[in-house]
Amino acid sequence: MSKPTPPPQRSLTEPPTGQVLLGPREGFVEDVNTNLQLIKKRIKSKDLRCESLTIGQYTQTRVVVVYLSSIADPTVVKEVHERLDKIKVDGIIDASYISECLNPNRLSLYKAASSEEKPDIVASRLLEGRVAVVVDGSPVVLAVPHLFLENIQNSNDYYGGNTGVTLKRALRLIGGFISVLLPGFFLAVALYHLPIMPLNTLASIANSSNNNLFPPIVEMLVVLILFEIIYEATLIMPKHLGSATSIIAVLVVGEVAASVGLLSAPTVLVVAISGITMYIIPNMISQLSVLRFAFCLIGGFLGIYGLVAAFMVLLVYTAGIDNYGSPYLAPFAPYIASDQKDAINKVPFPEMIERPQSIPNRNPIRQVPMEDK
Amino acid sequence: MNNHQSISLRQLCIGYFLYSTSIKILTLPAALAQGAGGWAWLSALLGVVFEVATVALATLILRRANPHQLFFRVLCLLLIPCIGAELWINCLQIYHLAYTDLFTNLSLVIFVITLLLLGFFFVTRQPRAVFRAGEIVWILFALGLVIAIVPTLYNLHVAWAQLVQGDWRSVFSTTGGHLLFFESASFVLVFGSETKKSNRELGKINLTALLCGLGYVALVTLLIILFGSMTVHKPMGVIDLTSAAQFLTTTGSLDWLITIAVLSVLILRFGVQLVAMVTLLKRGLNRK
Repeated sequence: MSKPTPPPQRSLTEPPTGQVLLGPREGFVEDVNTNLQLIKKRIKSKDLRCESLTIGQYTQTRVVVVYLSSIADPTVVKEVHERLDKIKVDGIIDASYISECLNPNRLSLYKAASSEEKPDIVASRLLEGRVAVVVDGSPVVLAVPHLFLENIQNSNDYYGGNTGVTLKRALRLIGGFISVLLPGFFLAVALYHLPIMPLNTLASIANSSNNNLFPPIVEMLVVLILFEIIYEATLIMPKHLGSATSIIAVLVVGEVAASVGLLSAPTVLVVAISGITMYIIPNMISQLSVLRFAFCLIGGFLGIYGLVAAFMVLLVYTAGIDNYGSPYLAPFAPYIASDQKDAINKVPFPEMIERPQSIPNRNPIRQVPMEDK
Repeated sequence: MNNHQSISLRQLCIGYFLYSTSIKILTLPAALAQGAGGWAWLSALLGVVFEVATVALATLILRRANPHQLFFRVLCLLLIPCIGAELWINCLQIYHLAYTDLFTNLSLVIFVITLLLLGFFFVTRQPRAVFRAGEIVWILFALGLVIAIVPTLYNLHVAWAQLVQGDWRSVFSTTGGHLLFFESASFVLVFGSETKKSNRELGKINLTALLCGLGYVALVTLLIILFGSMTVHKPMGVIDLTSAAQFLTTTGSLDWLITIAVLSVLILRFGVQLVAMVTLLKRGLNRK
């Protein structure tokens, strides 16, 4: 009797979202056993626990909860298991299904679990006390809890040396603010707060906006929507059509529309800057895009007063989110002094003696301080 | 094990700084100068003494009283109208600041609607969310103060005579009319018991009150030196922040940034007051 042939699977390649200049390039695949082996290759400790369960009436998808028993907080592990046990569904196709179920607040703007495609990142998450969820059929591994800080951190920060990391993280954070607030702020200033602008800029904007077809708010929304359409088209279309789309986008939106007077150059410039800065934080593109629209409308109707009020609402809302015992904005709010070593600022690795207190864990000490002779 | 579910002492102190300083910067310098002339700095100093004393009394009550005692619950219910009055004044200040300094086309109806929406939002928030937001906002507020004050110091010509201009006896009536309020003490009473710190550590809030007060006296003194007893103001004694800021920010027209910083803190203050009223109501009715 011949042995059953194993199902085909693709080779290990570098994932598109986790490219590094230096560092490991292995990425997860769709087979859960291969993914577990990739994690076990990096964490050889006997404390590594892999607790398997089956979810999905028809797909019978194997889902594995992975954590380090000597580091992870048992209450987090228990909560993850409880949430997974509550899932009664016909099928699980991808980890994203599980990701939404792991969120304590399903209508939340933010994710409660990070999605990782590289085993080295998952291993580092486990060493911080997080719990990973590996789903059969998905090259994405989830890690809980997820903090806002992770969106401005990048693998290159840890593999490429310490120089300039602080500056890069600060730029990512500032870029996030610019992407959300710039269109609304520009609208508010152009409509209601002209004295803020220097006189030359004011004259330039006035000249370019004189014969425009649309009112400023409509114009800004049209450009934002066009931008989103181009972005979606770039994602979905075949790669060999990429250059054609770029040409259309640049010529039509950038040149022709502005010269005909359909759209003003300052508006196109503002949306372009906002779009570029949005891609600095790839994990939050969806959220930043939605917020950009919202702040644009608020700035257009309520000016800077509305923008400030909306920003305060967003800040208080975000600050109130707690996922699996971790405040989402930690270590900024609440301020945790020891975690600032790897927040915006990043200290050299030998100085990271403690594990992040933002994540519940049982063993706060990560390494023994090195003695320099 | 994490303990981030309650308000930390650091959050409480930052919240106190924002809560007490924001409204004072906006309204009191002009009002004090109007009433006490060049002696406004002395009026501010007397007010600070009173404020620190009331805050110390509040921390003493927190140390002795049991939150479940009838006395404490009645006190909580009595504080609700006090904070309601403070809330009303805060709303007026927000409107004046937004209407006069930022958005002169702002309709009162639109303002009320946005404030109601903000109110519905804040009422549903936990105190810790608002205080965590304060840990972010205070940086913007402090930056605004630095931008406003530091460049001025380079061109400051100290005219000490301005500080004793006017009738010193008006200091007492001015202090009585503008500074003898229990805002800060009520803040400490409401949120001091939300922190899970020992009584000894809670005493650090008294130090915070003292430092904030001294900083405020220094600011009033600076404004008197700059503007004298004609400290620019609008009706209600509200300082004309734009004019003052344009004068102060000698390194460029960044007055709008200062206005945004103060407005953001006032809105947060609005949220703190609403959360305080909800907290007091729950405590007064002995519900979690």
